[in-house]
Amino acid sequence: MGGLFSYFRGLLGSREMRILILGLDGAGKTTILYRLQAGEVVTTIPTIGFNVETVVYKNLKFQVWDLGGQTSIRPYWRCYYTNTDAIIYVVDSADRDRVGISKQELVSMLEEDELKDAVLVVLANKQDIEGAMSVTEVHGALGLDKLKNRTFQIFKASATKGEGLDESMEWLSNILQNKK
Amino acid sequence: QYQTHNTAVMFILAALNKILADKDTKKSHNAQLRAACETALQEIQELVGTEPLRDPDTTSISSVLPEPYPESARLDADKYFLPFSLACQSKTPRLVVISLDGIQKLIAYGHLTGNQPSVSNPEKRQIDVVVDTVCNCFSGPQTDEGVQLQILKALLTILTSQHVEVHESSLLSSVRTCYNIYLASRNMINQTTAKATLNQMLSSIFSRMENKTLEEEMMESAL
Ligand SMILES: Nc1nc2c(ncn2[C@@H]2O[C@H](COP(=O)(O)OP(=O)(O)OP(=O)(O)O)[C@@H](O)[C@H]2O)c(=O)[nH]1
Ligand SMILES: [Mg+2]
Ligand SMILES: [Mg+2]
Ligand SMILES: [Mg+2]
Ligand SMILES: [Mg+2]
Repeated sequence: MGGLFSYFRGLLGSREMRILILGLDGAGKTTILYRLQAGEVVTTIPTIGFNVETVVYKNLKFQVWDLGGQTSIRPYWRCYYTNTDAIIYVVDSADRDRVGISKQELVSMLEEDELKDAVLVVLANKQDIEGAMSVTEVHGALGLDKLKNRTFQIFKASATKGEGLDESMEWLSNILQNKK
Repeated sequence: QYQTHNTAVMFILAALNKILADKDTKKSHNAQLRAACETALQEIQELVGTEPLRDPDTTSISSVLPEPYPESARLDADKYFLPFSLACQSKTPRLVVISLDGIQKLIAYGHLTGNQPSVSNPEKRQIDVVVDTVCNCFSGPQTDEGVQLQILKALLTILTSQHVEVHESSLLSSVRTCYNIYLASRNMINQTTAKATLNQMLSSIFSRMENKTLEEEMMESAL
C-alpha cells in the first residue's frame, strides 16, 4: 500500500525531495538555507547539529538539510546520505587556502555508493568578495572536469546578495522533475 | 531602544504568534496555552517598549532565527519557556513542531540555557525540565513523523551546545529517546536521522567525559 501511495504522490508531484547542503565550515550553507526558505539574510552561528527546513520552489517541495562543516563534524555527513536526491555543495570562493580540502571532501563524498544517483549542484559562493575565485577557477580547483556519471552543474552565487540561488534552484527543479 | 530588538525577541514573538494563529490554539482545551502565549507576548512587548515592531523585510532582524548571544543583549528565554512547554503538551503536531523548532533555535543561539533552578520545581535545573518536555513529545511509534524529527534536532542541539550542561538522568533520557525513535520509527528518514543523532551525541558525551577526567587528573596532580 505504501508503494501505491507513493506512486500516486509521485504522479501528483508532491513527493518531498531530499536535498543536503554540504561544504566546509563558513562556506555559507546555513545562510543559503534560510535565503531559500525565508528569503532572509540571517545571522548565523557555526552549525553543530543540523538544520532542516521545507523549501517550496515553483510548487515543488524540498526537504533541505544543512549540516555542520567543521572538521570534527564532517564525519557525520555520511550518516545522512540515504535517500538523498541532490547535494548542494557550497564553496567559499574567497577561501583559496582551503579549496583543496574542499575538493578532497567533495571527491570522497561522491565516492559513496549511497550518493551514486544524487544530482550535484556546486555553488561558488561569496562572489561578492573582491578577489574571490571565479566560477571557472572553482570548477578547476574542484576538478569537476574529471567528474564521470554525474548530473551536475556549477553556479556562481552570493548568498548574502541573493545572487545565483534562483538559477540553481531552477536548474535543480527541472532535473529532479524529469528524473521522477 | 531598537537595540533591545536585536535579540531573540523577534524570533520568540514570531513563534508565539504562530502558535496563537493556529486554529487549534483557539479551542477550549488549549485555553491555558493561549493564556500563556498572550501573557508572554504582553511581557515581551512591555520589555521592548510600545514602538511597533519593524518590518522584518526592511531590517536585519530575523523572525526566522534569533540573533546569537552574546552579540546582542540577552533576552532571558528561560522566562518564556511556559508557552513552549504547553505547546509541546498539546495534541496538535503542528504546535508541537513550532515549539520544538523554537526551543532548538533558542538553545543553539544561546538564549535558552536552563542553567538555573526550575521555577516550577526548584529541586530540578531548568534544563532538566526542558529535556523532559522535549522527550515527552515522543509517545511511541504513532508519534507524528514531523514531531519525531524535531525531537531529534532539539536533543542533538541540547547535548552538543556549549551553553548548556546536561547531566545524569537527562543525559540518559535524551539518549534513550533517540534510541526509541530509531527503533520505533516507521519513517526511513527519521531512522537515519536518529542513528546520525545518536552517533554524534554519544561521541560528544564521551569527549566531554574524557576532557573532564583529564581536567580532574590535572587538578589532582596540581594539589
Ligand atoms: N560576503 C559574503 N559572506 C557570506 C556569503 N554567504 C555567507 N556568508 C558569510 O559567511 C559566514 C558563514 O556563513 P554560514 O552560513 O554560517 O556558513 P556555514 O557553511 O553554515 O558554516 P558551518 O555551519 O560552520 O558549517 C557568515 O558570516 C555569513 O554571513 C556570501 O555570499 N558573501
Ligand atoms: Mg551557521
Ligand atoms: Mg551552518
Ligand atoms: Mg525547522
Ligand atoms: Mg570552501
